[in-house]
Amino acid sequence: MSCNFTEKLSPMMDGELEREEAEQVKLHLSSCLICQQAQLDFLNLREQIKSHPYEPDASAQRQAIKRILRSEQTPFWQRKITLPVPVFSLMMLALFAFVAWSVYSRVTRPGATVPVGNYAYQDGLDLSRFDKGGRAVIYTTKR
Amino acid sequence: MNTRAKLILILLALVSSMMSGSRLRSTKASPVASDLKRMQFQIATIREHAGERTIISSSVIEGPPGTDFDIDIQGERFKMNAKFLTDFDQSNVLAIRAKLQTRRLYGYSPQGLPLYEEDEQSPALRLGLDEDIILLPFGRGSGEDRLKIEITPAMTEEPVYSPSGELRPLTINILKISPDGIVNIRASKIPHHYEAEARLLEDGREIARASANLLFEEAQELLLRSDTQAIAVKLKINEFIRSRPSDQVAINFDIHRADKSGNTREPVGLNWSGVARLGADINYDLSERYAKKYELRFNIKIAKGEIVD
Amino acid sequence: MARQNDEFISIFNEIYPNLCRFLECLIGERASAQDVAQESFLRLYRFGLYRLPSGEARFWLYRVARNLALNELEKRRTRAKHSERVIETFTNTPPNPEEAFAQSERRQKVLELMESLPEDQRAALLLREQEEMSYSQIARVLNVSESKVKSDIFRARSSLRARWNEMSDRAARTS
Repeated sequence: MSCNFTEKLSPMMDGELEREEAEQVKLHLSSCLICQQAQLDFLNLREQIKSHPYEPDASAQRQAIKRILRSEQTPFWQRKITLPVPVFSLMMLALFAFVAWSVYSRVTRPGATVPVGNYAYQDGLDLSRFDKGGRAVIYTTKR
Repeated sequence: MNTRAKLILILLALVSSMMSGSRLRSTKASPVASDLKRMQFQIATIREHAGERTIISSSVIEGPPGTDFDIDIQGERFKMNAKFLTDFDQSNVLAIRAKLQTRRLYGYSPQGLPLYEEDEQSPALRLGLDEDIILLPFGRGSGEDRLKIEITPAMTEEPVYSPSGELRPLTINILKISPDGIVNIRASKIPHHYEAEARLLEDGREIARASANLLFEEAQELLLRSDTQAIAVKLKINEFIRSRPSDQVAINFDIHRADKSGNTREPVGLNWSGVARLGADINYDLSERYAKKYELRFNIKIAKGEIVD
Repeated sequence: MARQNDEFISIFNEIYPNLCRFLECLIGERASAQDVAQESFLRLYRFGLYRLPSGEARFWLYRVARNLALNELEKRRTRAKHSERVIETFTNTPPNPEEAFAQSERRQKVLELMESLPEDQRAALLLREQEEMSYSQIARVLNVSESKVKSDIFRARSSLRARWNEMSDRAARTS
C-alpha cells in the first residue's frame, strides 16, 4: 500500500516544506493511516541514527591535534615508492629518453629560450564557471 | 635507502639541472654590491572547488630585484592583463604597483555588435617576504568555484651578478602549463629609477633648472624658478625602450605657469610627449606661448644604483 | 600565529567528535574515521582557517572529509573483493537471514543500516539526522542540488524503513 503524500513527509519532518504545503500534509496525516505509519517509522529511524552510540576517543583527539600543529610529515627520502616492475622500467626508460633529448636539444640549439607562451593544449578549462560578473580583487595575505 | 630510490633521486637531480630557464639577454654591466641577491616569484593559478585546491598552472620567475611581470588570462569571453611593477628596497619591503585591466563580453547590441564591460584598477601594495599576493580575477565570488592566482615572493641565495660581473639572466620556469594556453606569464627587467633634469632656456641662455628622481610610470613635478617667473612641469616616464646606440624612454608631461611660490597654475601645455635618448637632451620649444624664445630641455638618466642589463 | 592556533584548536575541539561520528557511520569503521578526520583538519590547518569566512569552517571540513571518505570507501571495496574471494574458498556455507539478523544485533544497528545505503544517500541522511544541517547546507557540503538532497533523504528513509521492517518481521518469525 502506498500514498502520494508519503514522499512529502520527509521534507516536512526536516522543516523544508513551505508553510502552506506543510499544513496540507498535516491535514492529510490526520486521516491517512499509511502516512501515519510511515511518519512513525521515519521518526523511529531518526532516533536510531541520532542515538548511535559514539564515545569520543579523547586520547586519539589529543594525538590528532598535536600532530596537526606539528604538521609532521614523513621526509620525502623516507617514503616508500611501490611500483610494479614493468611500470617502473617504463618510467625509467621514459626518463632516460627525456634526459637524452634535453642534452641533444641544448647541444644543437645554443641559446635556446624557454617557450614562453608556447603552451600545449591539454584538458580544456572553461573560465565561465568562475565568472559571475564580479570585479577583480587583489590583496596581500600573510603566509 | 634502496637502490631503486637512489636511482630515482639521481635521475631527478639530473633532470632538474637540465630544466633551467631561458636566456633572454646577457650583456656586460657594471657590477653593483656583490651581496645583492636575486628575487623569485612563484605564480600559481589555482581552482578552489568544494574545499579542494587544484593547481591549473604554475611558474617561477627569477631575476634581480625590480623584475616586473605580467599575468594574462585569455578566455572566450573574458580577458585580463595584470601587470606588476616591483621594487624591493633596503628595508625588506616589496613595493608593487599593479595594473589590472579586465575585459568581459557583456552581450550584443540590437545590431548584433559585441558589447564589452571593461575595468581598470591600479592598486599599490607593500608586503614583506612572508606575505603572498592573492589575485582573484573574477572577484571573491559566492559560488563553489573560484579562480585564484597566488604570487609568492622570495629572496634566493643567488647573487644578481655572476662572478664575471655579468648580470644573471631573467628566468621563467614553467612547472605546469595551463590548459589551452589560458594563462600566460611574461617577465622583464627594466630600470625603474631615473634622474631627470629640466632646464628652462631664454634665447639659448639657461634661466632656471630643476631636477628630481623619477619612478617609472609615476608622475613627478619639477618647479623651475627664474627671476621673473616659474613654470611647473609634471613629468612621467611611460616606457623604457631598448635601443642602440643608447636606450630611450617615452615621456609625457604637463606644463603650467606658476607664481613665484609655485601656486596659481595656468596651463601652458598639457599632455605633451616624446621619446628621449637616455643621457641626451631633448628640447621643447615654448616660443609660441611667450614673446621671447623659450625652450624646455630635459635630460634623463638611469639613477645610480639601479640594476642595468 | 599563536592566536590563529588558538582559534584552530577551538574549532577542532568543537567539530572533531561529531566529524568522527559522521565518518564512522559513513565509512563503517572507527579507525579509518579517525584517520580521515585528522587528515581533514590537517588540510584545513595548511589551507588556513583565516581564509574562510566566519562559520564556514564546519561546512568546509565536512565537504573535505566526505571526499576523503569516498577514497577510503573505494579502497575498502577493492580490498573487500579480494577478501570475499578468499572467504568463499574456505567457507561454503552461505549466511541465512536469521543468522544475519542475529549478527546485526551484536553489531551496531546504525552502522549496518547505513552500509545498506548507497553512499550519497548515506551521507545526506547522516548530515540531516546527526548534524541537523538544512537541505541547502547539505547541498553545499555534498556539492549537489537541493532537489537531489531532498530525493536522496527520502529514498534513504524509505529504504531503511523497508529493511528495518523486514528484519523485524524475520526476527519475530524465528523467536
